[in-house]
Amino acid sequence: MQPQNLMQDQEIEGQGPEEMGNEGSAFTINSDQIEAGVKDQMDKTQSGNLDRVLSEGNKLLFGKDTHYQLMDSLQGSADISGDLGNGAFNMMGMLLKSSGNSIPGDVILPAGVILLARASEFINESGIATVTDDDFENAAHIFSVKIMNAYDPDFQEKMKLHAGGGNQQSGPVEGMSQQSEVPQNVGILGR
Amino acid sequence: MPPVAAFGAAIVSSVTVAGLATGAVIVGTGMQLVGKAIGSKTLQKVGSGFSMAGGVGLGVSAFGGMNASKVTGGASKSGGILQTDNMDEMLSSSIKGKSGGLTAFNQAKADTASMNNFKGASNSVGAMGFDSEVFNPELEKSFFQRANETLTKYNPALNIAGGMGEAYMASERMNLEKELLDKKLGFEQQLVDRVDTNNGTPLNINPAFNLNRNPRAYPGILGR
Repeated sequence: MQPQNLMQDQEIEGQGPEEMGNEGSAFTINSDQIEAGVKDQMDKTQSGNLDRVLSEGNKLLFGKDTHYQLMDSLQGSADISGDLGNGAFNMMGMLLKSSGNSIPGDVILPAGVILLARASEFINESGIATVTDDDFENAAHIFSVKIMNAYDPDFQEKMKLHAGGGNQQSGPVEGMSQQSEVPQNVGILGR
Repeated sequence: MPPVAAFGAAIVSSVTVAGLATGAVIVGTGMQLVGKAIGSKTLQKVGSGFSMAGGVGLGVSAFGGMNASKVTGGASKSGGILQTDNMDEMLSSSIKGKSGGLTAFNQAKADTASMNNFKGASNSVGAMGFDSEVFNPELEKSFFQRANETLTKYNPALNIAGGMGEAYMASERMNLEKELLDKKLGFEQQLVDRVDTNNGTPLNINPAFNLNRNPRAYPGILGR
């Protein structure tokens, strides 16, 4: 869907830009819009890969084996954005592991943020917790930073550069280099 | 980078995934465009963050109207001369649809409308009206500072290390408290002993006479 069409859809529904002044404290995120906007930037191969990852992610999010584990952990959360961001990171770790690290890198972040939006929508609609736009933004930030830091060496270098740390701890710590950040025996939210 | 965050960066997975930055730019561009279209500042902010994470400080304005997948190289190999690395296909596919094969360069046609219109067409690049239209090192710096804080806060290994440190401090504090309580108990016992001794010694009598009296010789009125 083109962004122009999205604009028309919003205006038809009476939620034009001028009526969206309550961002932050409300939840205005629409996962379908994000998916359409992201797919608009992808070619066919990437789009197909994204669909496959989203399908697997949906099974994890809404499958009977994992759904209650995920949602029960969020009930009464004191840090919903942190739990969502970490949950998305752990979920993507599970997807990567179950695929044998075969998920193409260019669909990991798009799939994660779309699944994060879907989970946020569900949590709000089911009343498990309240997720605001700010929570979503923070969760997306946590998710992206953790993914990039875990799997992209260039990002780690940039982190060091911007923090002015130079060559501190540039090599992996002995004995810990093979550790995955995704815990093996904890719940989907890392609890 | 503070040592603690550098430590966190070093102990993450050794698995690297190629193309993450591409994905970050794709999702950043897509979300910023959608956010702009529907007027959602949250989506624009999220998109800007993803673009920054992907290494594109300019955000979507760098791609004004362009397709990110084309920037990063599409998978299609059948589109034309620039999208194939097969020499035979270059020679054949590039002239598909033309009746006379490759034609000689026509100087009269060199001055095309698209070339003349370059200035106008290029105005759209970077003119999308986003806040991140101009590269802003401060913006990038603040993003990475926030990222550093996020990693420090949510890194499980660091939390475990932090938990161990906290447990050590709690143990030390308990030991100190126990020591103080023991001392206090010692003082109180000493006081009780002294009172006991004083009560057991008749006044103005030389203790050498060993005339002690039993302060508890008679039970109290309640038999205590």
